Amino acid sequence: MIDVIIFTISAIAALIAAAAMFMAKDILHSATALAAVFLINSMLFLLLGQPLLAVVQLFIMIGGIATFLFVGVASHTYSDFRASNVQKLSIVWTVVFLMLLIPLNSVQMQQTQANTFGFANIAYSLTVNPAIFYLMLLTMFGIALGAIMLLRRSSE
Amino acid sequence: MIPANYFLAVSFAIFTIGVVGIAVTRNFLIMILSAEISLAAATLLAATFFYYNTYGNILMLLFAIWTIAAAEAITLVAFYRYLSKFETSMDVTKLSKLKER
Repeated sequence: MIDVIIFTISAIAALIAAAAMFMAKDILHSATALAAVFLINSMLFLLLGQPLLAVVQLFIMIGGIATFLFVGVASHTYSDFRASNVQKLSIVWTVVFLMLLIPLNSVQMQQTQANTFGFANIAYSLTVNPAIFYLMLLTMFGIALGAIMLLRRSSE
Repeated sequence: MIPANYFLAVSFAIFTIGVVGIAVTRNFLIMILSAEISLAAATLLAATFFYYNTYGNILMLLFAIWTIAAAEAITLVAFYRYLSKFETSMDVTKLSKLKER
């Protein structure tokens, strides 16, 4: 039951972060929302019972790609052009997503992998191994974000 | 146990946001970031299929997707630095002016 609750919260947070990428006024905020999508995606990997994929997702997507985007694009104060049409996005997203959901009514898949995120193993799987990597990630990511904000403030 | 359809629905939702985001925006940076979101949803979809129907190794497929995402980020930064050098707008409808330079 607790995994369903965590899954629901993670799914809603992922959708909010993905939508916030379009609504943000600054490109730095958009890149932060993109990094949040990657983080929640790795948490969904944990819910799938794949801690290795979750940690590799953290290292590659956030440690590599999101940091690279921060340094290369978001730290630069050049572009202020915003042309995201949120209303059109919401309408077209609703139509396409409902069309994609139609085939799921007839899909029934059986679980074939061992789930390490069960109620009995939650203490081990969540607090021992991956939590260290998440703590390292959040610490280093916070330091990088703070350094970029200080750089932008000093350049203005 | 979480049903597989929940994961598939979430990955479809994130993927749709990425794909539709490419279509409805004219900002070059947001288009590339939307493609990154689509790739993240693709990794979640692949891991879901591996979790519920395992045939082979999923890690090679995910590494291929991650490599594409990294190459896309490098392309984005290279284009962005090139466009900012000429102080060109990030509007993709105005990028055709670059050929006159």
